[in-house]
Order: sequence, then C-alpha cells, then structure tokens
Amino acid sequence: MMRKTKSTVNKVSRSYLDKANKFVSEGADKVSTTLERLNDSHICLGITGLSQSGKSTFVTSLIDQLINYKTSSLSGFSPVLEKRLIGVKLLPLRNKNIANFPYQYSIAGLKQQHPKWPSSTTDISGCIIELKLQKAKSSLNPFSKESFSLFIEIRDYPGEWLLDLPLRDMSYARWCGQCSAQFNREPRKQILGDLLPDLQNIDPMAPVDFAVLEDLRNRFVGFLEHCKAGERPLSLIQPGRFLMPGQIDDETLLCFVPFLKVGSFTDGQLEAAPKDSYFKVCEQRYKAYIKQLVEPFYKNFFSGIDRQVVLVDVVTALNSGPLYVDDMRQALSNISDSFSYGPQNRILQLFTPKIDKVVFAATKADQIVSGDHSSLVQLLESLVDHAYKTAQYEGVPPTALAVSGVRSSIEIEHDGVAALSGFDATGATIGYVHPPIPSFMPKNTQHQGFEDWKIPKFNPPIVSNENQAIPHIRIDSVLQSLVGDKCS
Amino acid sequence: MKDIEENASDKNRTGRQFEVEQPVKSNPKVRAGKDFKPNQTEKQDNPPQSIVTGERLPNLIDYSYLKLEAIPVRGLKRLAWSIGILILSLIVWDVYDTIAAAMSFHWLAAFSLVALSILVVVLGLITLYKYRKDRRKQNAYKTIKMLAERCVSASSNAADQRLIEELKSFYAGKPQQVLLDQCLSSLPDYALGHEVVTHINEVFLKPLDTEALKRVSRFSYQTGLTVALSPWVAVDMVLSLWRNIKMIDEIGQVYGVRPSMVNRLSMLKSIVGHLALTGAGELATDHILDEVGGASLASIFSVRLSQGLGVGLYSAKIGLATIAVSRPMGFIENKPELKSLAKLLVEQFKSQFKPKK
Repeated sequence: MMRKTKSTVNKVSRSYLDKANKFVSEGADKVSTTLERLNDSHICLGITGLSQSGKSTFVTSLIDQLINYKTSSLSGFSPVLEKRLIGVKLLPLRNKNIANFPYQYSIAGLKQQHPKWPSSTTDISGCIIELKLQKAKSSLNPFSKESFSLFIEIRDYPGEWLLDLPLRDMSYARWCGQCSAQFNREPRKQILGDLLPDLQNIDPMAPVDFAVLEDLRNRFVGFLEHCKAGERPLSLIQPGRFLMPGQIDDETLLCFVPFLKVGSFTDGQLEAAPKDSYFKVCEQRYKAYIKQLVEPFYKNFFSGIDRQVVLVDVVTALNSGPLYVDDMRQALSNISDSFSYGPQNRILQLFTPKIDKVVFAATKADQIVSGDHSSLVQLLESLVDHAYKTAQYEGVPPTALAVSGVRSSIEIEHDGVAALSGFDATGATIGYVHPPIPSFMPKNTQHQGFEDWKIPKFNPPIVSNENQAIPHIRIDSVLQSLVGDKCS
Repeated sequence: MKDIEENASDKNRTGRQFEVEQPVKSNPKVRAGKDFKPNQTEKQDNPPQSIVTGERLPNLIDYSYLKLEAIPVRGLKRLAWSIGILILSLIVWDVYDTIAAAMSFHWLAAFSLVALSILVVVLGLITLYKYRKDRRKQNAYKTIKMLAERCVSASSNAADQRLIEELKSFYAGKPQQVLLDQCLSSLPDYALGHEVVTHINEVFLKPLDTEALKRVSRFSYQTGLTVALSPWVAVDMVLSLWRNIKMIDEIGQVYGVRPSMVNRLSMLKSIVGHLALTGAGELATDHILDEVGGASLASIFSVRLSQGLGVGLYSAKIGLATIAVSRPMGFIENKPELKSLAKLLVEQFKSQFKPKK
C-alpha cells in the first residue's frame, strides 16, 4: 500500500516537474525570441501559398541557396553582393513541439542521381536560418560590432489548412450558403454528381442518422479529393483538414458536411432547431473544428508574421481554364482578409504584429519562357488584386515577381520560336513550346490556346555536386525584398 | 543613294498611274502549345544556370527590373525626437525657474503659476486627444472606401461584414444612421461583395447624392451670382472662397463628415488632389459653355456676367470633387457630371439676366 502511494506520488511529482521544466524552457525561449525581435535580429517569415503552389520546394531551395551561398547565384541579395555574408547555419525551431523542416531529406532528393521533387507537406514543420553577417562599415562609430546574426524563422504547413482561415469569421449556416452557391456552378456541380441532390434534399431539421452522416462525410471527402487532385485542380477547397488532417485526437471534429437546404430557413428557425438535428450536430462540430484546429493554427502560425511571401501557381491555373483562375482568385482573396499589413514600430510589433513587407511570387516560372515573365507578373498582380491593394493602402508597397525555387528547364529555340527543354519524371528528354502568356485575364475565347494543351511536368535538373546550389529563378530578389534591409 | 537622286532629278517624267505594291508581310511565327522531342543540340546537357535579379536569361540583362531603392537619411527621426525632448526640457527648466522666482516673491504667485502650468498641460492633452480622435474618425471613411472597392473586386464574407460594421460605426449618432439602418435591414442575406455595395449605393447613398447635388447647384449659382454682381475683384475672391468653404462643409455633412478644422483641412487636401487628377479629364469651362449655351450666350451675357458664370462653374467643379472625396463609396454608375450641372447653372443665369421684352 505504502509502495503504491509512493509510486503515485512519484508519478505525480514527475509529471509536475516535467510540466514546470517545459514551462520554464518555453518561457526562456520566448524571452530569448522577444529580445532578438526587440533587437531587430529575428524575423518571422510567413510562407503563404495554396496547396501545390510549391511551398516546400521554395523553402528547400531558399535554404539551399543560403547554405551554399558561395556557389549559388544570389547577386541580387545585398550581403552576398557586398561579400558581407560570413556564414549560414540551419537551426531547429525553439518551439520543440514543432517538427524540424525536412530540409536534409528534401535536398537529398533534389540532388540525387535521379532527382525528385520534395514531397507535399502533411504537417507543421519549421526551422531557423541564422545568417552571420559583417556589419556595413560605419565611419562614425568606432565601437560598432564587426558582425551580427540575423535569425530568419520559417515555418511550413499544408497549404490546404490555409483555406480554413476565412472560416474563422463564418458561421456554419453562412458556410452552407456559400457551399450552396459554389456547388450549383461548374465545375463543382459536375464533380459532385449524386452527392449534390443528397446534400440538397436532406432536411437539416430532421433527427440525425449518424450512419447517413458518416456516409455523406466520406463522399464529401471524396469530392474534395477530386477537386484537389483532378486533372485541373481547384483552389478553394474547404475544410482543408478533411484532406490533410495532421495530428488530430478527436476524429468527430472532421465529421460534418454542408447541408444546402439551410439557406431556406430563417435565423430564428435555425436557432430553434432540435439538438439532435443534422443542423445542430454539424454546427456544433463545425464550431469545434474552428475552435480546436483553425484558431490555434492561425494563432501559432500567422499572427506573429513580420514579413510574408505569397506563392501563387499562376501557370497551372492559367493552363486549367478561366473557371479555375477565378476560383484561385476567390481563394486568395478570402485568405488575404486574415492578414494585417502596415508599418509598425518594434515594441508594438511584439504585441500586435503586422506584416511590413510582402512579396507576391508567381511560382514555377521555369515552366514558361523568360520573355513571358513580365506578363506572368502582371497576371499575378491582377490575381492577387485584393491583397495587393490592401497592402498598398496600409502603406506596405508590395513586390511582385516571377520566381522558381528550382529552375528545371533551359530555354532553346525550336522551329524559330522560344521553347523549353528539360527532363520528365522518367529521365527522358522533353521539350515544349507554350502559347504566349497574356498580361491580363483572358476571356473565355482567348483561353483556348491553353485549355487545349497541357503543360508537361519537368523533373528537377541533375545537380550531382552536393555543394553546388540548385539553379533558381530570382530567389535573390525575394531575399532582398524580404530581409535585405535587416542585413546592413 | 546616288541612283535615287538621279532619278529624282529626271526631267523626262510622264504622267502614268500605277498600283502601289503591297509590302510583303513577314509571317511572324505564332507560338502554339506543342510538345516535341529535343534533338541533340536542344538537349539539356548541364544543369540550367540561375536567373537572378535584373536578368531575363542568364547573362541577358532585363532592363525592366532596373530600379534604385531610396536610401533614406538615417537618424532623421531620432534627431527630430532629440530636438523635441531638448525643447521640452528647456520649457520645463524655464517654467521651473519662473516658478522658483515667483516663490521668492510670494508663495501665492508660485502657486498660481503652477496651477496655470497644469491647466495648460491638461488643456493641451485634451486638445491632442480630441485631434487624434477626430483624425481617426476622419480616416474611417477612407477605410470604408477601400473596403467597398475590395468588396466589388472580390466576394468575401469577412470584407462585407467589416464594411457594414465600419459604416455602422461611422454613422453612429449621426442623422444618417436611421437611413443606413433602413438600408441594411432591407439588404438580402444572400448578398455578397458587389451586391452589398450596389444595394448600399442604391438605397442609402443615392438620396444623399441628390441632396448633395442640390446643394452644389445652389452654392455655385449663389457664388456665380455674387461675383457677377460685385464690382470689386478683391471682394469677388473673398466671397467665392468663403462660399466654397461653406459648400465643402455642407456637402461633407450630407455624407456624414462633421464640420471641423481637421476634417476641413483633410478634405481640402483630398479635393486639391482630386482636382489635379481629374483636371485634364474634365471639360474646360469654355468648352462647356460652348456646348450648353452655344453662341447665344455671348449675346446675352456681359463680360461680368460671363465671369460670374465661370466662377459658378468652377464652384460646381469643386462641389463635384467634394462629393467624390467625401462619399464613402465610389460611384458604380451615373456619376454626376459637370455638364449637367453647368446646363442648370446657365439656365438659371439666363432666366435671371435675360433682358425682358
């Protein structure tokens, strides 16, 4: 009896000690980060991008360019140009609950004999890049330090989760209304098939049948998967966690669907719905989903961003057709409401962080000839018009660029026109000529050149030397725009 | 070159007709999407080179990327702060000295000075607080304008809600609140983005526009008439300035901008900016006069009356600029034009000054 009590006491005290230890270590990390932020030497970089926009490849390449700064081409990044970059180290995040960004794994894949693209992100990860920089010479202060460190914090996450951010300000009934409007239009209407009448016909006030709900949910997930992985992927896919759940303890959080008849009831009728009705059960789960998954994700990930790069895969959307371009614009517009832009002083930045620099990047620019990059940038500006104008209004002049984390093609002339040449997934040589990229959103008839023909996918280039940085397109511009001012 | 000159000076030219040969058009290759198998020379043998800032291809400069970043003079802010603190310290030091001197004279004098100093500080703080509050409110309609633009460009539930909240907060406690509430209560719950903005424009802002235009018309007529009747140029200037400022105040009030010095100055700044922007696009006064009145105007109006009409028209232009600036949302359609106001103004002048038969 005595022994049992002793062991219980030991267990409890150990658990409390562990908690206290964790609390102290987290507190120390927070203090350390806060001091660095106050000293202007810690920047949290928000890599924002929808699913398949190339976030992981971009982050991997960015780290690789910096680590191999001696062999990489970063002439647009002032510390490299002025030869003030002394060294670069990759550090884990201070928050031990977040996994390390799998840089080693991704770069090994990119630089092997048969290179492969980094795999899609399935959960949160992150890292800190420490840049050791030589200070710009000051003729006035003889006591100035010769070098200093700049810590760039980067976090990666599944792009699917990003689309949940707009749900934070949306009630379940409103979400159902939004789904109803979307589902009755192409291309979703066709993808939904039989599921559409089922979602339309079920009375949300009727008592819930959990087996039916489970079945609807599974079919709904199938629909979302089709939207994402179809030949022409859609962008506005909600709820994102249905596709990429991450670590979830309570599976019921992911068991709700939109009932399209909800719009025909008044707010009062919905409020008075029976507790065991489809509406109330799903509404409760929807609220829990927002509270337990979306809010913490936003709080931990996006509310502390100092600078942001928004990655947009314009080329794929353009290649899919006007409906898909419009869908992407809608998705980008929705998520941009979750970010606050504006210049902020260092002390206020600790409490109410605002994004004071933003770069909009059209990714996968290596899929088009370089002469069309400027058109691609103009097209990107019109796609992110909503966020672009907001940032401008708040006094943060945005930068728009055509970039590529990895340049996988070379430009050649084929039959008198500019073309691209590279390798496909099997390692075979492929080449293509693509229609000219328009600098404005094409009308339906002008879109045909792209819809009739699908851009083939290139494999990464073969870079056999480990110390050789992977070729890129304008990663130096991105770095300069985002952190160039903090490097002097 | 010599041949051409010789031909040109040839005297034996006879008249003849010939068909101009159409220049042979080069057929530029159109890029259509297609896949192909690269040949040996087109194959990617080595890894591609990076394309960096200012390049279109490696070693091919792209001039469109050429730009120089402004390098601000560092430390200006700190210098300004230091000067401010120095001036404040000197003031405090001087006040302290004065109080000490007064104390040596009589404690009552010192006490009065301390009380006065505290009163000045408190009044200063209150004024500063009010100024900042006013500025915040003034900025609210700029936020509304931006939100409305965003709602039109893309449907976003959060942006719609924010627009409505901002509108409610801007008009809270103002006579327009009742009208806004009525407008929002009739807003369909399915309305999104563009629909929300259109509804607010149609139901809430259109009646305000009518009222604002009425006032512009009245003020421009009055200003024109005063200038036409007044024989002194200096008086003309003062009168038109006074009437225009009054008009700006009144139009602002129609759209919910309270008349205060801060608001007036901010609006004047925006109006000047607006006029500078639209100046080139708007029709010139003379042109408008020609268009609305034709040649008959010259025969009806004397030089003074024409001057009055010109000033009236310019007042109308300022009035329209004020509407554009103080209206919480841009016009979706039927933007009021100077032409229609000018027509009305000329008619009023005609009926006022036409010689009776």
